[in-house]
Amino acid sequence: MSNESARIRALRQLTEEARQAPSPKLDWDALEERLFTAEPGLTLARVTPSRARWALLAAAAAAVVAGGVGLRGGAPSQPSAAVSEPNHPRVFGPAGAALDGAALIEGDRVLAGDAPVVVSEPGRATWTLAPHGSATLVDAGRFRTVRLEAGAISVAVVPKLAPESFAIEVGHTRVAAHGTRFTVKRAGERAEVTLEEGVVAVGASADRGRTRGFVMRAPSTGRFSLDGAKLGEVNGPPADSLEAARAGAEDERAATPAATPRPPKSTGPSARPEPDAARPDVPDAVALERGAARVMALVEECFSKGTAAPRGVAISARVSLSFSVLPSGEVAALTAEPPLSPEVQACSERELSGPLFAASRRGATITRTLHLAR
Amino acid sequence: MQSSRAALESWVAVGRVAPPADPRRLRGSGARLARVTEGDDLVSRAAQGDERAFRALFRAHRSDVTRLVHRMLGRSNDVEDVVQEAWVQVHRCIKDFRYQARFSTWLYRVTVNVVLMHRRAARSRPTLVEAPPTLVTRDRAPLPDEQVARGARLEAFTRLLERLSEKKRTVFVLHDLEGVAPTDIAEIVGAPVLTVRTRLFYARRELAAMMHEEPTLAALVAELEASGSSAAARRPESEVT
Repeated sequence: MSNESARIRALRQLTEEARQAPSPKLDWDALEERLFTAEPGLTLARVTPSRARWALLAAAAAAVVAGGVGLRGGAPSQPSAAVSEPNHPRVFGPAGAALDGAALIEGDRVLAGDAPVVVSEPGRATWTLAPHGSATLVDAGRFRTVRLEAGAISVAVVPKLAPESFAIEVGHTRVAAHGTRFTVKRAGERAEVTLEEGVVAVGASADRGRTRGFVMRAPSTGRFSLDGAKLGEVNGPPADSLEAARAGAEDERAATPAATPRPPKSTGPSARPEPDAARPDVPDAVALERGAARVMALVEECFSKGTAAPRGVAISARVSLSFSVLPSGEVAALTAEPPLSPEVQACSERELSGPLFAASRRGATITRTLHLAR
Repeated sequence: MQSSRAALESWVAVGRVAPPADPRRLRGSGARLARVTEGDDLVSRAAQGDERAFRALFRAHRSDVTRLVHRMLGRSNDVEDVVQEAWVQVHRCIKDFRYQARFSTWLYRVTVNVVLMHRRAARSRPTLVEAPPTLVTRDRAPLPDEQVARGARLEAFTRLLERLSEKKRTVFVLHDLEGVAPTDIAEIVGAPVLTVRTRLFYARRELAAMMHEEPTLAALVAELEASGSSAAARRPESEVT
């Protein structure tokens, strides 16, 4: 028998052995949980009709665990303002003056009477519903979202690199915060956004977590239709499009320049100026790699500092690290999958403040795999 | 050479290891593909946004998707991430499923695309985590356990698979490991059936040629060659007796 024939026989045997080899056993429950509930903005939970059922299940479970909703700073009688009916959205107010936002679940509605209602969500945001306003928590997950039905909401968002940790929706307009103080007011068939600090992205509410559209930088005010379109001019400093930092992450999870930003709408002489023409369209590839290496080094350092390990115990983790490079060169929306510990995440966000990349017109989205060891 | 070429081409017709052309007749792991319900109510309900239907689809086919991802990714640790991404894509695109192909074919096409995208992205970023491939040192001592030997062979085989081009590896995995018919593979990869067969032929040929570079596999070839020679040598005696 020739050597070649033996190779073919060997290949057949190997093929058969590979066919019989067991597939890896995944944690199906965890995977299903992630797919259907954990990241509603990204994944399957956007199937809204059925999602309500899951939200109700979650509500029931949360009610059992929490044993009700605690109010903060209010009179003891205030909890009774919550109407806890199974399979029905709970309504808070209008008696309450302060609410613990962490105890709210998806579908909960907050009503304000003659006095504003302050909802505090430690570590995330504090939002104030103006008198006679009405709002519903429509997403209690990663991209926490409150839908404003009437009145106005003022929001102070705790600065975070995680994308869109808080957003307000008015009709089909989404105002997503990136470390911000802002107010959204519903005025008939439009939304008025007043930005005191930071940056917000305003666009259609179709894609939670990846809001595309107009970016406002503080201080500025703007009016928008309820389907995410800008009405007239935004009074304030010019803003680069955040689309570049958002688009493309889904299709190309690599260090590629993001999608072409929507051209600024020209509305006559008062249209906002074009971004600095001297900036390159996208960051230089070498500079990107250098910057990415620096980001990873900082995260590694934070992991090393922020992870406690008993003597003689080695801890290692493999994460997929994603972040956006804003046109200003700053890093935003740092996320890790699986997530970093809160300490490491906080440290990383701290360390990554300030521009780490050269300024460009479109920015980029970068994903890297990182091996962390302690 | 002619005979080995024929052997590579006629793999399907060869005995127990031949992957049947019809996935419905698959044995073992590949047989699960046959349970994919083609164009049934579940798919249409899932396409209309019925989450329960989609969950049912997910539970019915998650193993198929995982197996394919695992085989295409090789030693990567990203199987779970890619499986999740594949299902996200399935969810996003299922409304566009037009029943022009079987659902199983469509599902495989989505999965293959996600895997290829993942591999492309992985190539473009520095790999800081992958440990260097475990070098299999030549060990002439008899292996203590057949399972260990088989594991080592699979490791080596996976390394060889990774050296194939994307196109050849995809076709090889789909046909020889997953048992998908060439006509379905043609739909999955968007190439003519003839091209699929050609890629399959060259994939096998390259794999066979690369075997000597992996000591574990070279030992297997030598073993099979020796057993073939001794069988050939014994044959005249048995004929005499």
